[in-house]
Amino acid sequence: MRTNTLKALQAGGLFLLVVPLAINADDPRGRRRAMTSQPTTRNSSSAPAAGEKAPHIKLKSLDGKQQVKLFEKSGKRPVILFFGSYT
Amino acid sequence: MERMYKDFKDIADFYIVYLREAHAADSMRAVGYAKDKKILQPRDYAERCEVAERLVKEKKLTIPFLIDDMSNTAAQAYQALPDRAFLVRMDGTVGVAGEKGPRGFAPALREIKEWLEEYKKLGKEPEIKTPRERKPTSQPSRRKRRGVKP
Repeated sequence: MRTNTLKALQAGGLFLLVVPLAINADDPRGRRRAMTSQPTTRNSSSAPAAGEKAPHIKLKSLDGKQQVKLFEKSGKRPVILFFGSYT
Repeated sequence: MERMYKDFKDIADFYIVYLREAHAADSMRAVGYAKDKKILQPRDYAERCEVAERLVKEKKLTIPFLIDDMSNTAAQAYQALPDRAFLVRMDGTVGVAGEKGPRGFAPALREIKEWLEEYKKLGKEPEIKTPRERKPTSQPSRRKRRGVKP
């Protein structure tokens, strides 16, 4: 009987020990990041990085005459995109 | 940008993707020249095209313009506001991913130029360099070293 409770305690203790460790390992950066700068982290994580597939986009040319579909199929030439505005 | 276009337009496609105005005269973060030139935030697609047209004329741009839609789909997909530059390889993967904003733009231009020069010299696309964005992958290994399962 005594040994049983001891075992149970040990198991419980072990469990308690493991849980905080797991939280620490998972989180110290993640949680801080989430608290301080969530929008920027979310932004930078969903922007395409080198080596990743470029998101498909479908845009009209300025004169409205052309519909340009990009990156759905592989192309014959590399494509350079400059994103921006006047101001 | 224009210079690079002239130098490399025979081997690559260039586009300027015109987005919503970052510092329009009627915005909270208006810049001086936006006020001087009365550049307002376009309210609909037609107005957006008008401002883009002004930009093309006043800066004498020859790179083809594409206009983002009013839901800013392209800006979202590429996290490109206020400005950003990318090079996409023929297989549709990103070759150069610039960082966001004016600080990221100039280094990205340099990197794209180097890529294109190498492409021209080699006659094939250069290998992808280890991107800065990959850094987070080093975190799991630190976790492993501690012997804790993720």
